Amino acid sequence: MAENTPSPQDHLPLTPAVFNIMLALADGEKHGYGIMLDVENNTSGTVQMGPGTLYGSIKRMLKAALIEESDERPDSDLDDQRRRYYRLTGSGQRVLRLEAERLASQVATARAKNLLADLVSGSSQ
Amino acid sequence: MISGLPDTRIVNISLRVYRVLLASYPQSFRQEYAPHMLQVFGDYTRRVYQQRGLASLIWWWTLTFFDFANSVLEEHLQGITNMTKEKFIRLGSWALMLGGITLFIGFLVSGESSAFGRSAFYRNIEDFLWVSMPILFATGYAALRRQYRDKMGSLGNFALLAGVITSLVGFLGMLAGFILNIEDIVWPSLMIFFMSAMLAMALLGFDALKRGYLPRWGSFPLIAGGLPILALMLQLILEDRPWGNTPIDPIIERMPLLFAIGAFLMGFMLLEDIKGVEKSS
Repeated sequence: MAENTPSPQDHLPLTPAVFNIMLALADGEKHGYGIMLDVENNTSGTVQMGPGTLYGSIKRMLKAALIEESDERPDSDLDDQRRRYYRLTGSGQRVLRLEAERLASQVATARAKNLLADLVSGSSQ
Repeated sequence: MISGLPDTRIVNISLRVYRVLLASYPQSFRQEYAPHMLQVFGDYTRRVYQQRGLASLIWWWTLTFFDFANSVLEEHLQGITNMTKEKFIRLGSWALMLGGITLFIGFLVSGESSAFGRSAFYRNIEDFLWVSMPILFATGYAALRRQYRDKMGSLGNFALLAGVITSLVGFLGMLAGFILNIEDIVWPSLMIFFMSAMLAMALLGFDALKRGYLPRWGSFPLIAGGLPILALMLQLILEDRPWGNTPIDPIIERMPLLFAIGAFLMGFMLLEDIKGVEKSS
């Protein structure tokens, strides 16, 4: 049965919350709390995601098949068995890559317009 | 492991408060995610409090509260937008019936000769009835439009859309007027809603008569919307008449009741229609 499944492009642009969650899952499956900590680390603490935004986004990402629940559980001694783990689907990985390319292209445009001159000179010091 | 750290009293209180807040989410979302949200909130709250102290906990709570308010609204709105056509029409039909009843009661309790007197209690009830009415009519008109959109002409389509928009404008105006206690906003807003809602029903009736898409009482929207408008206009024209009151004045004054009955019947017709559609499918 042929269904109208959206192409990866249809998901773009991603909301900042979805992009951050997908970025957190890019290096492997994580549970909700793990995602929250990873987002905080990846953004140097500038983004603190609340549980409402986190699970609201997770719900929509599951529906869009960008992520899926993982059946695998780590050793029960190491973690709480009630936790749900999430990982990127193949489609999710493609969407994340496309969004990263889109953002990189925007950054390149900003750089070409010398908007990042201060940042570049600041980081080289 | 963070979960293994001892709870402090303040963290436990935070968890209890957050559990209460979680009850505000839609039921399906709550059943699926509330335990996980509570667990994540608990873990993060313990971490923040034990590693960074009370000031950080207060900051986290501020962030959490805004996150909660935003996401609870989003989840409820999504529930509405994801509602099936049939569910929405059913909701709209009830809203229109309730709008008719509310208008009927609102009309009875208002005015100098109110049957309920002028105590503060009834005044509050009256204010509530007036403010809630535009929302009920907006929902009902949106449902009517959704049900008959494919059959109605551009006049009916435009009339209902304009009816929805002006009802919402009237609602916001009345709400602002009551909150800010400015009577000068309330009455014009009520009149905007009232006139546009009646005009929308009259135009819908005209369109429905022409195209014959209403399953029953086809001529009633035109009568229920059109006659009260004519009566109101007549009242305005005859306001400063030199010959005093006439025997038809009480009839003219009660014309909005006809509109209330019309709204109720339209809601009832819509409900019956959607029930029929659901049965046949």
